[in-house]
Amino acid sequence: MLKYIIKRLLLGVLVLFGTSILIFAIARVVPGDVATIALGSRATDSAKEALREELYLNDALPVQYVKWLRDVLHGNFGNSFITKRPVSDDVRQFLPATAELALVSGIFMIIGTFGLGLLAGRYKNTWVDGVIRVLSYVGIALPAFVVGTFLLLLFGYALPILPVLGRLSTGVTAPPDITGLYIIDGIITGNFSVAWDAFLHLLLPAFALALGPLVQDARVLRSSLVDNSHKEYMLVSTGYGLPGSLLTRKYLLKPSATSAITVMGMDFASLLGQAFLVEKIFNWPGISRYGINAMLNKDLNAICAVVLIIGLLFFIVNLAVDLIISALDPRMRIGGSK
Amino acid sequence: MDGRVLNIEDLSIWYKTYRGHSKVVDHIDLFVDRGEKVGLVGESGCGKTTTMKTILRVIDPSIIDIPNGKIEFNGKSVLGMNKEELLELRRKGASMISQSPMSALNPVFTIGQQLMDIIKYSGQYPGASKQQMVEVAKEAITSVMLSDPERIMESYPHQLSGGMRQRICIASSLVTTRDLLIADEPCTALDVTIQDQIHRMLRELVEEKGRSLIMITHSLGVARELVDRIYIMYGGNIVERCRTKDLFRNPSHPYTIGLMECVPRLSGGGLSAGIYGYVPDYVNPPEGCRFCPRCKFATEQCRTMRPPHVEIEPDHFVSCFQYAKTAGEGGAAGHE
Amino acid sequence: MQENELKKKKKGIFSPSTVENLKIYRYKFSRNKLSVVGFVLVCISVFFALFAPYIVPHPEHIGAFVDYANAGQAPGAAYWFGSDNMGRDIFSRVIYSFRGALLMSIVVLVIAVPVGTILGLIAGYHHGTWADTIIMRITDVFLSVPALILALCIASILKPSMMNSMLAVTIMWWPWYTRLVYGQASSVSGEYFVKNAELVGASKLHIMLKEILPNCLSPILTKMALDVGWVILMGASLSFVGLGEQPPTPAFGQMISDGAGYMPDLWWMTIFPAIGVAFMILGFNFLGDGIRDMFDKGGH
Repeated sequence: MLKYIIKRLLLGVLVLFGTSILIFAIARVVPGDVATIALGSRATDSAKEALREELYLNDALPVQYVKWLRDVLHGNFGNSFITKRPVSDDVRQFLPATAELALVSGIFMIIGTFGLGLLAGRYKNTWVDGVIRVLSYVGIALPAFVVGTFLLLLFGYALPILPVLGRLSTGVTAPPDITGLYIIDGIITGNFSVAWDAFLHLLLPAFALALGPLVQDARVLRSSLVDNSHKEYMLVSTGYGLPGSLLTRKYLLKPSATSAITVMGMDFASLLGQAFLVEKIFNWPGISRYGINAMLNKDLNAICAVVLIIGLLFFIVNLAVDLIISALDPRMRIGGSK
Repeated sequence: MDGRVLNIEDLSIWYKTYRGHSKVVDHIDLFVDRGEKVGLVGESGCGKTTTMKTILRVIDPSIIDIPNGKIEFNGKSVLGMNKEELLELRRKGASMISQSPMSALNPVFTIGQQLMDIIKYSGQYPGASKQQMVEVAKEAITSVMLSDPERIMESYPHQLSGGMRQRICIASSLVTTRDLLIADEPCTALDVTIQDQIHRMLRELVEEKGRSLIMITHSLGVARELVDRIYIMYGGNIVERCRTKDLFRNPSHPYTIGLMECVPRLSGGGLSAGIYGYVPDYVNPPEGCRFCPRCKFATEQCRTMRPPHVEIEPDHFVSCFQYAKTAGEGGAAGHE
Repeated sequence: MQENELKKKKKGIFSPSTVENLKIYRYKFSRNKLSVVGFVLVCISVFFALFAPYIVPHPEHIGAFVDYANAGQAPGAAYWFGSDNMGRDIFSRVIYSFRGALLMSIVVLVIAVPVGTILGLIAGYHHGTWADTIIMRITDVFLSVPALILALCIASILKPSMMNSMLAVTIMWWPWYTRLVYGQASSVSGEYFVKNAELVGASKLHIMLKEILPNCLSPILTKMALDVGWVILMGASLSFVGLGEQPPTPAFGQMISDGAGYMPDLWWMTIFPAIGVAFMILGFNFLGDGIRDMFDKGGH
């Protein structure tokens, strides 16, 4: 098992290394002069030359890459063309907001998938199942940014009971920075009203992100529950007189959960992608909003940093999913006799 | 009726399919007395397993219909049971050994976890400590001739061989006391040497504790070794029933005779022709006798009318028109 | 179960003709009513896409057209879906947007599927060699970051346009097919019929295209049908942030994003494009499910 994890980690490092080459290449094939893009056309030649020096633009491409990577490994992504600050400072400032949003969406996704999936499996072919099925079509058909737009309008105008923009209401000061996650910081420092305010602000964007994946994954869980409930081992266990709740909770759920968890892992990728749009819609001050603004303004250093960080995050999530699945399914972690 | 563990009368079971009802079990009668070993013989797909699963009511009720008939277990109607009574039946009344050991064990729990749940919920060890239940489980594993029960308890099904899994299945049926054991072709997936061992073990375990056994098999040879009485099932009907020795002395239904010819003999010219054709289409079964399309003695009557049950000798019933006119005489006709 | 086996046996005896195969496919496809709904939705989408300029009530509203006198009309007889802030007919613009969305998914799949398939075939057939390692690690790299993010990246670095957004999505799309075909091809390449072909001296090209590829076709087709919806979604996402089709030519994402600025008063500016994109995505998803059922070996 340990060997497997180490192998995965090494492979992950290798792939992230490849990702860095890819994103560096994308950032350098930008049409036009990088220095001009960064500083605007009115910049003086000497300023441009200084920036070229800073970005190693006068070197050959492979040399540029090696020098850039050396800096990146030291945590130095260069300066942002827009904020003029070190990108690493920006990342440190914006990352926690996205982490909090992704975490809460992830929790919504897990609760929703298992809640709705179990309900649909339990009441299969009844109206409950039907409603969940229709919801899953809605989830497929409406991309997160459309859901986000509708929620923003609904709660911004028609039903102003939930805050729609930002991480905190105006006038509420952020809790002391410990983890950077406002809810947790608020609870740790005893500022429960701040934590609550932060939570309310999270609800809509997190829901917009989680809705599509969760209703679809609930259907995946439902169908694997239904498939497995016809398996011979379920009939056998039923035949031994085990109580129904134990059968569902233990004997049926555990083998069925793996497929749903696998797709949840994959859907987390689309969630991270859609976060780029949803954070923009809800003006959520996270790394994805920072990233999309960087992209729209060709802030090359910031783009590289954001993509690498998302890649790292995605890798960690995938690894976690694999570990959970091998914990659930012994066939994944122990070889058989044959 | 006193010592009758299981009594099935006029039972039909229909699967709901997109083409209509698939009438896989059609008006069957079957009983098992206390301490008796009964064989249910027929080729694959003739309704044996469906009947047995219905006794324990483990088939998803949304996919089947039971239009008529009754199943009584120890005098109590199984079809009318409520949830608690059903649990009681499954925990103390009957248990079933599945025909597919490779898929009968839950892949994500250890053998120990699965056995312990069966013991715990059987209600037969009230107040037993966990340690005591572990001992019961180990004993059950030892009783099916598996060594190193500790290691097996900690194993997952995929770590065991097919034969070991089959023994575990038997062990889990025997770990708690039940009146009736239903063994559904327990050896189809195993090689011959193990088959023999397991059959002997089954017989001993059943006889030792005075239980009843229903042995489902498609092999008359196996039935001959193991059971007192035999039911021959074809296409959802019981076509012949009698004591084992009577069946081999005087097989009477054309289907039974065909089955007998399928058993390869060491002396005599190799494999016989067997029975031509397939089991019938259950959605639109033949109107009269279901065996009629494959029967070389079939007459016009067979095509249109259901054959009666004829007692050709004491306790020997055959469902065929050949015997309807004069019992005994037709038996000879069946042989040649 | 038994019935099915029986059918298989019969097939073995009578060796089914292509016509019979098609009949089975049609039966399996239409067994699920939603597949039929999907097929109808897709047909309508294709019809809209092909004939948009000829069937919409106000073809001129698709371009740079301004009619402030009729701006912000609610849905009604004159403007079925209402008119936008510049007085353009939303209905005409929504219908026209089907064109770009369908064009995009066709272009992306027509390029990405063969590229991904060929790479997957090469890697899968040369399982365990350096070719396998290089191709599959590069694939891993492309899949290491959520596709939408890299597509946004590429589209933003280039000049925002329909062409470049298609390019960006295409660059992100082939790895999925490489991975899919790789898995299939590497398992098939151990089979006897491949070994046989090698023994009789068939060329590698022949083995890959004639022996292995046919065994990968049904998952590829299924994935393609489901992917059309995803490409449309991704295209809409890109155009939502202004990286797709450029105004005045309409596109779903762009219209939704424009409309959001005029909410809640001109709600129709947002709702109808959203319905349009949902219509297409749902249609292709249902159709994809039907195609999956069609190739499904089991089932009754």
